[in-house]
Amino acid sequence: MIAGPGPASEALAVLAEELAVREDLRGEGFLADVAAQCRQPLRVMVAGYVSSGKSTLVNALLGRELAGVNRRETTAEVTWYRHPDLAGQPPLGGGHRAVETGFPLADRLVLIDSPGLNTDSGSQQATLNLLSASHEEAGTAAALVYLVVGEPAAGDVERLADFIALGSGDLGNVVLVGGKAETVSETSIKDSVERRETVEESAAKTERRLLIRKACVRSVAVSQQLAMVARCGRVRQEHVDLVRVIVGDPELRRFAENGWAQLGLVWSARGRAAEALAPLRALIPSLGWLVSELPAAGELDVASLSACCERVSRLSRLEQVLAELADDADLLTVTAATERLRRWVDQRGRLRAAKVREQLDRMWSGEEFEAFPRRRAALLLSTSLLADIPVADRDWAIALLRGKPYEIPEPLTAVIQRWRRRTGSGTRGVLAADVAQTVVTAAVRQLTG
Amino acid sequence: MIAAIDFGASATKAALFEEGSSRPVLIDAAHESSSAVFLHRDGRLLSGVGALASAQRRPHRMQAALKRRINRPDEIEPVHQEVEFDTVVLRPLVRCVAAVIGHAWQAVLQETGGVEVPLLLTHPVGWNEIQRAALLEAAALAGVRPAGLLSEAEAVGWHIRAARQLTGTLLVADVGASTLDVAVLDLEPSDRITVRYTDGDNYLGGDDFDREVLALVAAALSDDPRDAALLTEFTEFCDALPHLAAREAERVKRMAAETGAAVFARGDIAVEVARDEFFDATAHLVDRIVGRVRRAIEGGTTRPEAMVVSGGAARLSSIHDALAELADEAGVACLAWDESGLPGTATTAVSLGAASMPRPWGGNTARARRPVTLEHAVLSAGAAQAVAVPDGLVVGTPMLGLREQSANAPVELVRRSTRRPRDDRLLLRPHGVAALGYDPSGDRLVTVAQDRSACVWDIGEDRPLRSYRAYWQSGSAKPSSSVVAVAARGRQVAWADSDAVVSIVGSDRTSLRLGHPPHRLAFTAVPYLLAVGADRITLIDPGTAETLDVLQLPGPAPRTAVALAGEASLVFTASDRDIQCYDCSRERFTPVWKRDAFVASALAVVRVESHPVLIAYDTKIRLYRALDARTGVQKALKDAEHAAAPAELLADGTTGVAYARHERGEVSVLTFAGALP
Repeated sequence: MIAGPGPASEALAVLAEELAVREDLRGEGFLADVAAQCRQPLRVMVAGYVSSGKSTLVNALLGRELAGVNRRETTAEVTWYRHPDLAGQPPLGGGHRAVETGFPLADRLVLIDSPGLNTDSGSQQATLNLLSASHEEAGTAAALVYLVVGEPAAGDVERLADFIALGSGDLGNVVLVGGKAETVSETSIKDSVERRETVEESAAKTERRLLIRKACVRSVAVSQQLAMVARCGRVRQEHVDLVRVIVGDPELRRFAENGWAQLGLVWSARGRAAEALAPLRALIPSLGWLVSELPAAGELDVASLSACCERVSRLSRLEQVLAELADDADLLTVTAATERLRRWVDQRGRLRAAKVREQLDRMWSGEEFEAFPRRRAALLLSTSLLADIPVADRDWAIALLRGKPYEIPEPLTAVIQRWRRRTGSGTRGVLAADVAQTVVTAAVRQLTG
Repeated sequence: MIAAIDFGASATKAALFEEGSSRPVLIDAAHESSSAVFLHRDGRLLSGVGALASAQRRPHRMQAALKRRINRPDEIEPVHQEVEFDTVVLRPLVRCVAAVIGHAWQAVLQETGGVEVPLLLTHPVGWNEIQRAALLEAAALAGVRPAGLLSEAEAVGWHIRAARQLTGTLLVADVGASTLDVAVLDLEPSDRITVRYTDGDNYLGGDDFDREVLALVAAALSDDPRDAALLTEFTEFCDALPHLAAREAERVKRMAAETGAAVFARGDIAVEVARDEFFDATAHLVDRIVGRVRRAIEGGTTRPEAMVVSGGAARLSSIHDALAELADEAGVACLAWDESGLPGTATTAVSLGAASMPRPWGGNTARARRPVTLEHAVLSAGAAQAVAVPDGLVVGTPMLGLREQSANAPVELVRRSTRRPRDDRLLLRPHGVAALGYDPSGDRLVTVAQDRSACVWDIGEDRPLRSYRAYWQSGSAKPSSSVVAVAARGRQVAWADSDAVVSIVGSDRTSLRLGHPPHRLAFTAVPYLLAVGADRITLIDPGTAETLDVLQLPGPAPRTAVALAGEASLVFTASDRDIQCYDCSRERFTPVWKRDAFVASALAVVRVESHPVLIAYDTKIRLYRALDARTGVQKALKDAEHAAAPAELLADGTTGVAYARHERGEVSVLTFAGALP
């Protein structure tokens, strides 16, 4: 059986079940889903514009092609990908479907693929419902992976801010993914490393804009396409043979960095048939991105080419970020589910709302919730909220807040002094000051203990 | 006449009301006083201008974010929290808040000519009982007993109601320095106000606008490479003196909003901030405030008919205009403050509300989740020997001469509940008592007379349950020696003589001679016998009367304090350097934990919800700490700044009560209710 997020979520699940048997509330379906949410792995929603590659990203994370791709507006329903053990519990009503499947993070996450946002078909409403505070379904997903391709569009920032405002404040539960990393300025920038940085930069740019809004997000650049090549085992010997020819010839290799068009010219000049490249072209439409990372001709085989695609795709970095969020599944899930329950019960009349809110408040003062302020601060520290703070100080603080050992070369008091200077809210804003204060308090308690 | 104190996140204000009119109380000749405290070298906590002046030179000894600490969730509730000054110099949070409230209260007293008028304290509407308890505790420490607690939103409601004879539902948006509180109130026709809805953002407030001012200044300086040195100067200024940077930013914020532009000036830095530029940079903050208020209008259980915006940051025109626009859009009447026409509008909304509120007050309770109470000098033990039992203290005057052994000297129970010393019923009349002991495993009292006859008693019975005949001849004790300590567990009784002989009776009779006379004995659960001497603790096997292990104390009493948790087989020592814990359940003393930053002059072990808890009195800071006996983690504290220091701490080890015995024999009672996690 798949383990739930943790004791705090379990407490809320029990409360939701108690409320479900109350006849005056009439919300069995809703409350059953709140209880289910509190007993399942972290629900992560993937959202973005049509054709931003949401489904490809989901497929890459799943390691197989389950989500429909390569058609404009391919996902018409909100699709939940979850561990086979979770079968039986129906997802939310119309516009939602569930697919039970095993995938690398299946025991830690439930992935929710959503219809694209810029569509006229009406299916985007299901996505907006999950994102906006004004809808009952909001909070169904406790974390959000938001895909942007190139420059973030006008609505992105507002939509993310809406999602962040769902809870009682920032949690650091939004991952901004710069997708289709390989397509960004393929022709204008030669060096592939430089190219990747640009994509990260573009994601970071949105991040900075959000940061100004005091919303804290993490950013990762991913090439979904290369991730699919690696994860779905698409590399064949014929691809390896072609790549071997390219890397074995310095000139071919150099032109390959500039993309298929230039490579094609040199290739033909060598008297080779242009159509021979077709299989590789179909596999890796953006070859330039990969070239500088390719191993030497002698070391090339199916496994090493696949591994190279995997590395360059940076999908594992995204998985690592998601796994970090899953470590705090209890905090994220119970926060989202509590807000869900609050908004829902507000529609059930004044007295009932007051009573349930009181029950929720009492529950939140329980000991299962005591470590949450620290965990929340740790989550926020791994976003760029306090980006100006040296990495060593931040890593130390995160380890401290998570109760993990961390060696520092200087006296603890010196580090605390530095963090104390960061607790002024007038100079850093209230949220950053609060995070710094949480660090100081935890450190002082450790020092005196 | 009544007084109100509004303890704010950045500033504290006070006001006085008399016959319908109100006037602000000047604190340090100003309308408001900073809510920061400064820890002086002599240990005093300064508030107001004194604190700010001292902080110029030693900013690290200042703490400004006191209210925010009560606001924010933490695994330790506010009444038990400590505030750090200069890294690990700690003071209780409530004592710091007390310094701020006390400073304002002194200003009130000056205004009233020393007459103590009833005081009303206000708090954010979202505060729960635990948070309010911290405010009450702080007031008590400041020497004030507030006549009532009132939420800031309700105070605003009372004022609006008095000023406009308004009834119906009212939304109050309180935009403070570091928090946003939204409440929907029901102003009922029958002299009552009910809170219908509360919401808020604990991480959004006026300080965020100040921060944007600083960001604008930094951006302006970094635009021009020639300003690189100035930018460094600016960054260093912000890091070293954040409160001054924030204050300058606040000034610029106000001026820019009011007059169109203002200059941020510090040393060589002079950067002009224009109103439009400032409004652009803070638009997202206004959006967030509007979003919260919109949620309260649309999503709450009760749709408000009117809205009022209060709080210091609400003076910013951009916030006010945006909320007025929202009200217009939602069909809610937006009421403004300055239209009230009431006298004394210079005082805060909160104070005005306090004036309008009918008396008597009540209904706003406050209780800590894990309350610790300290009743100072409520019992008396005189010079008698005392031992703690679950009901109170058993006291008896020791008789040292053999002739006194038949004298009619009673041993009495001074009950904690009656609090009347020495007039409770007679407990027992043993034939002379030289030493008293308590057996927590069987809830029995044990007495040893000077002739070495020992008796075990059920507390309250006047006949001994069990007695052991005079035995002093068979040991090596000399007739000139006296009994100095006794302990019992089940059938075993042990006592120590002043010539260092420890005798153990039970199924067998054994004795041994130690190097130094012990002054305290206790059995552990194993059972072993612990004997505390002047400089060491000896672990004894009572069956064979062999010494198993010796723990050297860091120094002699009174520099070293010792506590024994017999049932948990734990031993605690405290000095002016640290507190340490040892386990003695396996024939030897094994270190369990050590806390370097804590010092204590008296220790005792109580039991709270079946967990052993170590109580340690810190002479330097003058407070009682409650530490988890097994881990040393602090669970609670009780400020005893104004109480006498204990000469000795007594506890029976089975209840959550400890008795602090002072020099003159008065006893204070320290009670731990509620579970410590």
